[in-house]
Amino acid sequence: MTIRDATLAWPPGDVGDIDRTASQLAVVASQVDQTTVARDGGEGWGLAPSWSGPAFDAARAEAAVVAARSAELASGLMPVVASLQRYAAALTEARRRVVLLRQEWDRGARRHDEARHSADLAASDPVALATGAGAGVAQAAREEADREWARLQEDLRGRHTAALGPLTAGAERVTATVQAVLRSLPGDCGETVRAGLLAQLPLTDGALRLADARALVGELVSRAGRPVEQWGAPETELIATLGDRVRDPFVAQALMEAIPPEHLQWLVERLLSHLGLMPGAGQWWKTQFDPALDVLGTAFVLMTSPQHWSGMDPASAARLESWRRRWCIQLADSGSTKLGDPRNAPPFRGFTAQAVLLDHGRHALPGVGPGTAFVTTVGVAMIESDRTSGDYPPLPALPGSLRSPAQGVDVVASLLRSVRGDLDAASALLLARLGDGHLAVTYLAGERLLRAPWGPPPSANDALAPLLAETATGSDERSVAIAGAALDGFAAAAEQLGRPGERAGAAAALALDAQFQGLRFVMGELLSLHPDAIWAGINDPINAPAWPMTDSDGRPWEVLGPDGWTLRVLNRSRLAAVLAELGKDRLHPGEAAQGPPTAPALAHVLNSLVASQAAGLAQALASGRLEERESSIVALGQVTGFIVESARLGVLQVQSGADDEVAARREFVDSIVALVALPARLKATIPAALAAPLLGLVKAAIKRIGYGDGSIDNAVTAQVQTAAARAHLDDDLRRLGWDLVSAAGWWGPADDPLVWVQTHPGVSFCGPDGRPLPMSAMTVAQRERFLSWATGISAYTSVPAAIVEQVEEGARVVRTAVAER
Amino acid sequence: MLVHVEPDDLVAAGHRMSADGPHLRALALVISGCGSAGPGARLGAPELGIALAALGERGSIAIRTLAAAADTLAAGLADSGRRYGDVDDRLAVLGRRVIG
Repeated sequence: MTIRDATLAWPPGDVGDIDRTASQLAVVASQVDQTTVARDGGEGWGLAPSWSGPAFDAARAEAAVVAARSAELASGLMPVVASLQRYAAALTEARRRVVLLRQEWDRGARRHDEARHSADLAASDPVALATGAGAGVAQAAREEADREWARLQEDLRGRHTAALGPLTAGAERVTATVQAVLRSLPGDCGETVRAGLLAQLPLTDGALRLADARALVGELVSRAGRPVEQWGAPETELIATLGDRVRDPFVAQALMEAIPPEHLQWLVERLLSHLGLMPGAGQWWKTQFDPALDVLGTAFVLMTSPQHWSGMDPASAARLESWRRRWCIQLADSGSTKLGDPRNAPPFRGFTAQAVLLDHGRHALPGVGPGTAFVTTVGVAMIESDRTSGDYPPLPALPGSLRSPAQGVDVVASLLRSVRGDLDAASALLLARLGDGHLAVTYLAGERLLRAPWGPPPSANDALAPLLAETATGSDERSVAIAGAALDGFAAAAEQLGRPGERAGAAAALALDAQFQGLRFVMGELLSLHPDAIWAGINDPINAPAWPMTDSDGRPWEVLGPDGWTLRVLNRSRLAAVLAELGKDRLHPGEAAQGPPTAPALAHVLNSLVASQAAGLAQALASGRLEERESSIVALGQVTGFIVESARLGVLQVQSGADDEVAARREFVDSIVALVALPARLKATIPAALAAPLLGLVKAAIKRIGYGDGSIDNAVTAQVQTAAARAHLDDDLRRLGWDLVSAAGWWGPADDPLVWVQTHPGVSFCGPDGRPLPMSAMTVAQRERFLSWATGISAYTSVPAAIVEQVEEGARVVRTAVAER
Repeated sequence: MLVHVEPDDLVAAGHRMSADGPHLRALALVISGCGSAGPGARLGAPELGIALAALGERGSIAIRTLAAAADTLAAGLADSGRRYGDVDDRLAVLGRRVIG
């Protein structure tokens, strides 16, 4: 490179390249916002007159974003194009000027050379050589030429810099405009730009995610190398490779689209059959299959559960919802079909496969269960199939047959487990009406229990009990409807056991004891939420044999009471049947109790009832109104008598069947009594003098259930024992009656005990409140003086007698109701 | 929720928009050409080359994303139009219309 070229550097760049780039960007800038969607997008979308509704709003919002981003890009690119064009022009101009500068340089160089040459010639002139002045003149001329040349170079250098100035500025301007466009994009690399834009374009994001998911699953299907209808054990490893990606609802949808319900059910059947074929290595194979079943179960459960389609745009959710409805119908339609070996016992149905997937989905995705739409279609079909198919209880396998792949799978139990924690779905399922007109919960808590005499406790009970506790909380009409239907089904089934005292009834009670056990406590809990239902049932003047069926959608077991929604039991026979079952909670027929039960159902109901009755009685006694006092005593007496007699008959019945030992009953009864206790809030509000005798009454009454009878395996002996027990009860009740009158101050002003004590010197029998102490707290002397004073008070005669009479009336009501079965 | 739909208009709009996606993809290809210049391109300013390369990459992706949006809208409109049309036909048989 010459000094000239180094000094007057050629402006870098290619005008052609710059022009081409500018042209390309000009094309983009002029057209990117001229698409139909960009022109029509936004508020004034042309479709507005033709379309309205949420889908339109979503589409218009998406189009508006496309329009805005397109316009933004176009307006951002325009300055880039313009500045590039100016930059190209500046480059051209700079080059023209550099050419001129270089020409000037060349001319200056020539002049410099010529000047120095002239100086050299002058120095070699003979005259100058002769005079001796030549050398000095020549040197001066050379120096002048050099200075001249240096000045020119400096001048050219400065002008070169000046010529390139606009070019540098132009490049900086272009760079700035490009940077401005880059800053307007929602990201600092390609990936983030795409993600940022898609965050503003939910419909597009959903469509792309679904396309990606379909591609992912499509690749998996192609790798399998055979159609999905043939899939089985060899494909499990492949399916498992999806791993946690299947938690993405788009991937789950793509997977369930690729494996339609019929093929999915067959796939599960093949996997479970494979386990049955490998008796020695079944567990090993199970561990091999579990990851695949977890993936399939996750996809299955996610598709049933719209509330867990997180991060999904409205359009994708709507599309998926539409697909899901059709999918659920296919699941329901194909669910009852038997799959695999027809000799399988129990048979493997489509619903069996679905139950397996629900279990795996619950395991893989805790807290995610099928939604309401699924349970009201597929779930109801599952229960209906269970009701009509005869699959429950499972029949024993035929001799020589292989293990059924359905063995150990209880479709109903899996379904009930899957809806735990989802009140809406669980309630919808329990209140769904089956083909026979009954509600699902009535069937599950009732008729189903009768199907497996001598069978093991049904696993569905373990799922149903907590589900009832969650849904039948008594907090609103729906929950009361569930409680009423469950109790009605349970009571109707218990009523089927027949009359206590009969051999057939005792045998049936014993055979079905395990079936009822899992639900006894929760039934006690439901009843304890509505203690008014017991007195309402006892005092029901209608005592109807069946519910009125005037309205097919009616739920006559729920009524709106003065304190909100509450429930009713059909008649006294069913009420007695429920209480009899509650009395058998935690009881092991024929065996001594295994330690104290933790919370037997009867104690639970009694605590609630005592609280309710005690509150009412205290209020009535304090009111001073005779009718109110009498009705409270009637209710207390009859409720107590009814419960005691119902529970007693229930215990006698099942123990008669088991021919058990007396000790077993005694331990059991003692443990119930120990658990009866007044709630703390009542202790604070009810005078101890009233609360203690009331609780004592209940405890004493319960204690007499099955006490002292060495041979209660026949009705006659049981009847004798009943009379003895009642004699004890009557004594207790009379004492309670006296204490109640004392606590209530049920006498006139003229009979004030404190005045009597003052006018009859001797020991006082009154407490700090001025009323007589409970009889159990009195000394002999106090009791004598108390009895002397009480002789003239009529309430001490009428109240104890009324209580005893009403308890007997309650017990008689039970016997009458049971006899009418 | 009341909706008002002219199914034919939706289908027509979907059809009109169906060309947008391919067109935008072609523009994405064009702008990516700027990126191919790169830092070593003969633009005369290295920083400008780097910026234009970034513009080529990110601009191209942005426009391709807009193209996908246009495709989605076009397909969605056409699909919705057909679905509403089906419902409209069924309701017409029942003597009713989609318009609420």
